[in-house]
Amino acid sequence: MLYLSQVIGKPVYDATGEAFDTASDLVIYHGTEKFPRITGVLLSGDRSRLAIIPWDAVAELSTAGVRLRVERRHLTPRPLQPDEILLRDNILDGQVVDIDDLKVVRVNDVELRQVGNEVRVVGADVGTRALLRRLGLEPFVCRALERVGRPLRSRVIPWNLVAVLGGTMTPLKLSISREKLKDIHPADLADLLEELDRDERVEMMTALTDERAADVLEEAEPEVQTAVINELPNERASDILEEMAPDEAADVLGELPEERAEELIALMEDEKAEEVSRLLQYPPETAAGKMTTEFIALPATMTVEEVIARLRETKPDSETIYYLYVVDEQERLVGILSIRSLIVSPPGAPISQVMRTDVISVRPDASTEDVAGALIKYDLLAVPVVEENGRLAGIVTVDHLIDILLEKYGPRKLGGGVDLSRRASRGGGGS
Amino acid sequence: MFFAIMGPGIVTQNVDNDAGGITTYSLAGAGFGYAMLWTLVPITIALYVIQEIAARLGAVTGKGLADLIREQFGVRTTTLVMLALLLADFGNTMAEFSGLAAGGEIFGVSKYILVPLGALAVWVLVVRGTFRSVERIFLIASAFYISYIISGLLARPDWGQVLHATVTPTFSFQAAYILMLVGVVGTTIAPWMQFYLQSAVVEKGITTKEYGYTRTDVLVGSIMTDVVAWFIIVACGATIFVHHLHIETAKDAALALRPLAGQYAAALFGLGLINASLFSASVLPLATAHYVCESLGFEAGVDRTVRQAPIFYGLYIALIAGACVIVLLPRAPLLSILFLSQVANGVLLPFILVFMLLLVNNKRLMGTYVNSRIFNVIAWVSVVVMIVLTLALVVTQFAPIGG
Repeated sequence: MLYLSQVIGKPVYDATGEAFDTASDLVIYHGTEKFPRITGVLLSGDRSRLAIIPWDAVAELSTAGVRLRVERRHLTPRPLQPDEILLRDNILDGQVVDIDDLKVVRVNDVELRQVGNEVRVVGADVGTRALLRRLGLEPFVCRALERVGRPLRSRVIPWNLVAVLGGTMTPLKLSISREKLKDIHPADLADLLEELDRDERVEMMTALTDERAADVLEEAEPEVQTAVINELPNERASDILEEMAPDEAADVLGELPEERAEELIALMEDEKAEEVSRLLQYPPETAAGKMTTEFIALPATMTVEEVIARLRETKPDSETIYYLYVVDEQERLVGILSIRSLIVSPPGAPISQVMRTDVISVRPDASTEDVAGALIKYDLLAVPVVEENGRLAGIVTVDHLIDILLEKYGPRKLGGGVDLSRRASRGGGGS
Repeated sequence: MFFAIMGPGIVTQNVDNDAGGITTYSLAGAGFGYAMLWTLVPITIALYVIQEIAARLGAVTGKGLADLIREQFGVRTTTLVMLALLLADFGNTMAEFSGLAAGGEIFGVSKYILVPLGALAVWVLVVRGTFRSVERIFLIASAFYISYIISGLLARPDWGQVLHATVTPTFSFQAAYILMLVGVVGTTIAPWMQFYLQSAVVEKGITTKEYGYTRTDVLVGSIMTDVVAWFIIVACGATIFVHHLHIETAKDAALALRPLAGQYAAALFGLGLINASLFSASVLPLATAHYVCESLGFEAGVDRTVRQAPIFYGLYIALIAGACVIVLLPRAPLLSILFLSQVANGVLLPFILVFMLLLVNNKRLMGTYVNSRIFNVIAWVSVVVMIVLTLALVVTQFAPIGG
């Protein structure tokens, strides 16, 4: 077993056997290979960090040092290539994402292995044992622990399960990050987002598609949402906001400095921008502040059959499909239609005959507590928000109720036990 | 509005005026009258420069100081720094609880009741509350610092004399004076503050775009902290020093203020001391456990369970419980504890400053945001002065305090 920490600082011998420098860093090609190979060695004497000794000049890499196959004067150093990274500088002691355990971990050492005449990176050592090794205490502590019957095991994450975020973002690097993060649920990515540093966050949000980035951001804590949007360039930030539900986007924008929020809204599509600015005007702690404008409104003149055909055609989000709202020409709410009544009614019946007209609704200025009360009392999945003139402005769904309750009673101790269910859902292919 | 203005800089500075600080300033005023006032001017400048560097490091790199030290200087350096920080902050935590004990005694409450209650309150506040609500409580609490300013005014000092002393440097080669000077510098510019401020800047998501705002925040905070210090020295200088009373603790100071500056001055002083102790006790041990764990790669955070983050909780509990137990020992030398914690801070500070300066002058890390020459000069001078003063402190450690 060879570790990066055992190579750094060791002498570099040329073909004549002269130790002319020490190894300062190892270079890897950060490409699509599962276990990247080492492509060069950086010498301590190279202060400007420009002259990499290419791998084909290396005869052997071991704990004794680096043995070159050519003489010193025949070396042809080259600069660092775009998709090469330095193991010690960029990886060792830095943070990476363990995409299996979904944790942000610190790399205490890097495990290397000789494969043919190449040396490859096989894993990131994140265990305490690696810390002790680098402190020179490994043999001592390990012996002591073995004696008391609790041997210290090393914790190495196989490199194919490690995502390296942060640093220079080349198109290749972004595509690798996207690939590595692709099976992780947005809610889990949101948790990771909270623990990442700024550069790492920016890379994650840049690597993901707009839609997935929006899903992730919707799941994140409000402080993280603002921080992330703050850190991203304007175009990227507005692209992500555009993909978010308008109410969520408005919540995020509401926390930003006014100037920046206006800049971002200006970059969004007109229709979305208008909707978001309208939502932004409502006080956040009211029904209007919590509502979404993504709901299905139908004219009372349609028939059951027509409605079903329309749903098939527009394929609305699952969040909004359970209740269909029936409005008149002035967009006033006249009734509500459940999916159930739609299915059990004769196809030709006009919806005005099957809809319920005794609709529970709230005013835009109702407090969030009143909204929560209405949802709980009447066992609703969503409650419509109706303006004084009867116009349907939006709906507040039950997941907002959960957010309201969490905010009030604290999110602590929740979510600690979801490891297993998350595992199961990931096994089913993620989302 | 209040919360919108208060940024990481002001919060950090308010945590800085903790029990150790209040005691040291009280002793400075009681022992030397207004003679120490002038030092607050250069201290404020150094404080601002150093805190600005920490804030800038956070805003540009988006990383905490402990993370940066780990990433740039490796495991050995990090381990040493973290061990030293742990030790210094254990001392600081003891100082907070002994401040709480002293504050309670001013109102006739036994330390055997108040200290365990305080520790419990801190535990509940931090482990059960979200960071947000905790921070709000801290922010509201920091308004209590006005009580020191009122105490200073109630002491009715001779303002002409006070202002004159503030702008006229004087120096004495008395061991006790040098000792006090080290205490004042050490307590005002503490190592943990740099970690705390930088993390707070990062956590707020402040980038170079909003950095101008944070710079102002840090400046206001630095001035605020020293204004409070100034008033404490003035209050004690105008009363205790003038009447040649001998005091040894902040509690003595508060009790001595009672007949001289009135009952309310003493009560305000005591209230301020209790608040400062609780405030810093809530922040310090938790923050320390965080830095140690994050930089060495152990899981950390109050949103983890004890099983998930055993080292984090272990450190946190050890800091609080250990400090609490030592303070509650029947004949605990509270004064020595307080003072030794300042020594630990003073010894550690130059090292932390050197790391900060190496980091902030690293072009690959900071790009165009490296230090200006003036900042480098002020910061290096601070390092040298701190090393000289610390050596002086080590030499004179066992000399009597307070003249």
